[in-house]
Amino acid sequence: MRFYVPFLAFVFLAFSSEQVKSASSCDGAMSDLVEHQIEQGSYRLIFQTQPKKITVGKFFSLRVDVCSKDGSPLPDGLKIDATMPMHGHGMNYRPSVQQLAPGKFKAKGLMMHMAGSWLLRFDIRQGDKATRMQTKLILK
Amino acid sequence: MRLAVNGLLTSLLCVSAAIPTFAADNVTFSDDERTSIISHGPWPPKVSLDPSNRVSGNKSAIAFGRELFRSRFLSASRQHSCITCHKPNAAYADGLALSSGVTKVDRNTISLANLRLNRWYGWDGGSDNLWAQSIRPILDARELNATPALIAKRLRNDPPFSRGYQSSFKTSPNAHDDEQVLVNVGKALAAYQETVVTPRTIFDDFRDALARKETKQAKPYPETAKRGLKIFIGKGKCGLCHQGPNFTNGEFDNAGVRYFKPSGGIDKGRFGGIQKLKKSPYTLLGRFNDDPKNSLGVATRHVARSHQSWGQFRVPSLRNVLRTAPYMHDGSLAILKDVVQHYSTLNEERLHLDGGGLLRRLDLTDIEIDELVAFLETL
Repeated sequence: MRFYVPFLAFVFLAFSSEQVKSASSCDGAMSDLVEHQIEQGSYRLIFQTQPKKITVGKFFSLRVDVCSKDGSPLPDGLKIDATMPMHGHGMNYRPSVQQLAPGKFKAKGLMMHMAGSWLLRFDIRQGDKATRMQTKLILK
Repeated sequence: MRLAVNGLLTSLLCVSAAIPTFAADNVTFSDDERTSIISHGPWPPKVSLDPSNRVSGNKSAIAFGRELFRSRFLSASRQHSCITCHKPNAAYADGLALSSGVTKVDRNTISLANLRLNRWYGWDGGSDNLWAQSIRPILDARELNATPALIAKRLRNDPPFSRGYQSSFKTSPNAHDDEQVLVNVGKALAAYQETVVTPRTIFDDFRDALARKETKQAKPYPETAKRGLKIFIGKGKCGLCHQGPNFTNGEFDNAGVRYFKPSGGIDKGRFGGIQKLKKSPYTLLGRFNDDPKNSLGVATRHVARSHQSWGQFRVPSLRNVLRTAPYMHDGSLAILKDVVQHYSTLNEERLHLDGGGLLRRLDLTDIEIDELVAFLETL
């Protein structure tokens, strides 16, 4: 039961998403979280799972860094959720998100209880503006 | 010469490793199927002591818990005990559709085995630890119908049980308040129940042979069971919920079984279980948790109640499943074949899953149903 992000299976959804191999930044502003990267609108989001491999039925945490590509203000809120669109259900747990610094977050309490295709969703909030960023994860 | 033979052997092993299917007599398994089968072991798995229970694994507490489990001491009327419903010679269940203590209960008795592997306890997961789950029937008016004061008073006045308490907790029950005595009774009961582990089965031998790629050792596993296993991990998609060595993901789902209670009203299932959990003083987030790090509390802290929780019940382990009839939360399916037929002819309309949903009717043939049952019987 291992989580994997095969190069081709890290699917492009309605936004640009790519796996990065080295430290990335919005003009050097990003941290060293180099696991996964999503871009949408003004923002680039990088997240890292802890532990590194997600296991079905085991809790995990996320470190999330968001930077602005065009000088827009950094988000002041983040919600995280995950669903299995094919099965019509989500996680049985609601992650808690803590803001560590501007654009930097830590989420705890994520658990994917079934193997298969999950959609991991990040809802970024900046004032009244909401931006959804999401990526597909395949759990085996 | 020896080098040459070794070289040949190495080559054969390499060729063998490259073959994409594992032939175990007539039924063959692909690499993906093999990986899936291997994920259901090894058995028994390594388990750690329960950090929330300071007497987990303690021999005195196990012996004390065993005596409590078998005694009518915990019942207000002294007419019932844990083994009224959890009979050791019946896989720690009772063979009845619905449990019965002081009065009939609306749910089927869950078999008590392999409990250290659980995250949640009870059909609705109303407890997040085994000692709390052990307290629940003591206080339930339909089951043992006792109170903390009654249990504490009896324990303090009964020399053998008082000694059992003292040797388990290194303190006299007189030194603890009534609620602490009750919680410690629950912890001793939990220490005993943790020792109930189902034995290895012919499935485990087959699974281990598969993991080692030993065709000869895999052969004794019945062909019919192999075909059933293929359905289980394939078109049946049973392994999505019944995953891992204990054949359960430990979570909750709607299996399309009625949720009207025989006594009237609706069984809220997981929705009600989370409500109970949030109100309980005996959770991993409460003061009775002995784990200073609270390493297990993450699930309780983050568990979410949603409209989908209605009518969901805990996915039971399939270990020893042949011996735990009748089945489902309300005991409405008498034998294993009924369960397989239920999923084969499932009424998808009854699932109310907003157009999504994991379960789909399987439309199995009669032969496939028998094969799936044959597999389940080997667990």
